[in-house]
Amino acid sequence: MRSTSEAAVSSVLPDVRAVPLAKMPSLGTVTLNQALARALSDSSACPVPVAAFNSAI
Amino acid sequence: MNRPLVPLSQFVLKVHSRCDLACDHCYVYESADQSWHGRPLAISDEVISRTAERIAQHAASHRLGTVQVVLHGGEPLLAGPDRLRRVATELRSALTGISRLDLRIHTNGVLLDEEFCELFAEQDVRVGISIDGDRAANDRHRRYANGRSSYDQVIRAIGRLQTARFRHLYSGLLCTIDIANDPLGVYEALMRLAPPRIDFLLPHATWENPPARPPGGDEAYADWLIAIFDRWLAEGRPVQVRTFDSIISTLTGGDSLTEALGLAPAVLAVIETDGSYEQVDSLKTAFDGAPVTGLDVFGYSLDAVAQHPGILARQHGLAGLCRTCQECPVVTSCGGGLYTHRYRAATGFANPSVFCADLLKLITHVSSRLPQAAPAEQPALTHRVSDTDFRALAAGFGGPAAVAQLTDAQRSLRRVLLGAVYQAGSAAPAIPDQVKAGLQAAWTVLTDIDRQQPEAFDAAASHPYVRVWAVRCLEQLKTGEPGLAAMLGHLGAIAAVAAFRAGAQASVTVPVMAGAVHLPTLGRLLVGERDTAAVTVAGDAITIVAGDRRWDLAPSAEHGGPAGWQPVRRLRAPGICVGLEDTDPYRDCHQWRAAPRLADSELARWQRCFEDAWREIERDHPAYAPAIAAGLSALMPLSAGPPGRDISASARHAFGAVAVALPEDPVTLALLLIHEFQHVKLGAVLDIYDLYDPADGRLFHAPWREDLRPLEGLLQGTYAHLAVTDFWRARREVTAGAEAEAAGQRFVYWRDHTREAIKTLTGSGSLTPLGERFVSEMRQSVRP
Repeated sequence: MRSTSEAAVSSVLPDVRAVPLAKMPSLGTVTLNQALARALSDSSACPVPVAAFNSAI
Repeated sequence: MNRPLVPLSQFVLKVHSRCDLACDHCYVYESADQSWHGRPLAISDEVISRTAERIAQHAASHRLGTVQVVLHGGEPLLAGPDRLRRVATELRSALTGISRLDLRIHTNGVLLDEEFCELFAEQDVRVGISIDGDRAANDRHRRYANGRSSYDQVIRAIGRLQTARFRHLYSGLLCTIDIANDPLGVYEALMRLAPPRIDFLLPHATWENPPARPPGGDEAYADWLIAIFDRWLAEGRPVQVRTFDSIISTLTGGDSLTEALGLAPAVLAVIETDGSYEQVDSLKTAFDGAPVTGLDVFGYSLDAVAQHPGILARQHGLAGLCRTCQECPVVTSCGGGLYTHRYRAATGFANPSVFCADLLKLITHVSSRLPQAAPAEQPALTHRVSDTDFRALAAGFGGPAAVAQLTDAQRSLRRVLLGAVYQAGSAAPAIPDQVKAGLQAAWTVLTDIDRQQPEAFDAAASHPYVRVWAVRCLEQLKTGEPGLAAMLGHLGAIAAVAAFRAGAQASVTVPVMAGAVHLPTLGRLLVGERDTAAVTVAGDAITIVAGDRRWDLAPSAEHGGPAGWQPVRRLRAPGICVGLEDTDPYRDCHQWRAAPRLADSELARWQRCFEDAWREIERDHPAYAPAIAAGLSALMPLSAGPPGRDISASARHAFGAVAVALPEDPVTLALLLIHEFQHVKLGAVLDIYDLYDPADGRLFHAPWREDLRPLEGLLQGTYAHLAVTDFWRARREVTAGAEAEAAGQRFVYWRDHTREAIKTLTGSGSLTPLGERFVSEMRQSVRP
């Protein structure tokens, strides 16, 4: 992240570069899920999240 | 506007229409729909073949990455091993080269003997078993027609799935809730069976036939589930429980994990034993004939089923719910509950669930128990891109500063992914202790290096295929597929490379994959067929021991080393140096096949072509060169494509990597590099920002393709062709004669197609305000 006073487009992706790797598993659930949802996303391959059939455990 | 179509990707295949049990809570035989009376007992060879063809056609035309098929009944094991083998082999054969087949069976288990287990191991069929708790709980409903208990047979079946030979087939337990059973007794009984996952299913009911409740028990199902949830949470979530995991996921911004909760569109069709297509099975509870579509595998494609009004009705998300649900504070997690449970004769499905009060109480309770991130835990910062760089990226460009900001965000994503893999791998019941010990050792090395020499950690972790690996691990940890132990072991290889980059000392165990030890960014060592190898790092030397053989490497040298060592080689041109990635085991993540290790002569051809292509980019397309030089870290050779066709690819999860089959001339390579790096940039932008509504499952016409594309695919293609248009404009100006004329024609072709696609994007109604801004910059960038 550049340190600048220039206007920027903000996001909800948590910046965890300064959080020690060892602390990653204990990050707050909201933080973790927000970042994970983005890290796992690839909707060009699979269009949208879909409802999983209940009996397909 | 194009016709909306959400492809179907889940199929329930009824292989037998009768059951050997007579459970009194079964929706197939005991509910309003009685269509089973007229069905053939078992699926015929003809229906099997037609079904496989239909699914393969649908998967091919919609480029589905994975297709899930659930073998179902009645009781599917009644179909017998020969018929089930035929079903599995026909489906696999039809889908080969098209989609990955996720094949499952849902059985009551009473017939599950060694022969069936061997068959499922042979055909890679995952097995889910229905059981409602301990003997007393299970006997309440799950009995033979003569009243005899089925409990002992089911327990014996689960015992088979718990053995080492078949453990990987055991996908979980399905438990239909009866509030007369003690919830903790049920939970403990199921936990004793060590399932990878438990699904607690609300009994099927509607407003016409409400569920059994004690007097005053308006929230009795919530209370029952809450008792289990609190125990499960206190025990550290020792097993996946889909209902709870789904609520937690949606409460924290993730996806729903079950059709019974959340707003995700339904993408499921049922194929009956006679080849009829039906909607989801549970609709049988609503009214006689409720699941009927009037279509069958003989006369209709699955595209026709996907457009059936009954299927479309369950794909509208929030807009498809009644007003009460739309205004409910937990609607994102609840989604109105299971569609069937909303049914009332007078108003159809435009009602809250008959379990509405239960769902509200349960979701509210789960929300109240979620750990609220303490201020110290919550990172103060989120990623941002400067306004100037955002506009430059949106216009199709962006320099090193823009790429640096995208790269920063990738660092965060990788850290989170590595943490998630370590955490999930360490907690997964199916992972052997020895693998967990290896995971722990690798994690200790990585966290030490991260603390002491973060740049060395980054040098190893920033390899494009580390994220591909991590995502696959997390996907497979969910599904429990074989090979997971080796996959998790790759963390040891990443740790070894980080230690080497740091000049530190470390000893880790790494998996041997396809006869080689792989050290990302360094290369691979061919060691022969073994399971694991020991890697010791000491400063700039690496020792690998596999079996009784030992290899000493000095990976800093790009050439030389012991026999079997294949280092990552580099392509160089003035101002750029990229790894030629032809060894990494996770590089094969594109729709085109990765090339095998290149011979020296091929490497020389690559080097010459790359050097010339880079000269072309710097000279004729200078706006793209700095970003590519800053962000392209790996070039992955693909095997040659179809004759006469140049192929290239990029992958959302492989930031910094571009895959190309070496073309005949450097101009084409320059074009392919520019084209694919556009995808790399936009993928990284999408990792940070929401530019469109991900719930929009429609497919759109892309002017340059015959098939329809999801919104992100259209956005990606348009963004890439923005640069392609620019490329041909520049070529038109720097060439002469026939070459300039041809370039001019291509410029006009791509300019017009790009403009048309931008119009489609703008008119989709699904761009976010930021997405509208992004696409507006794209539009302004298409010069005449």
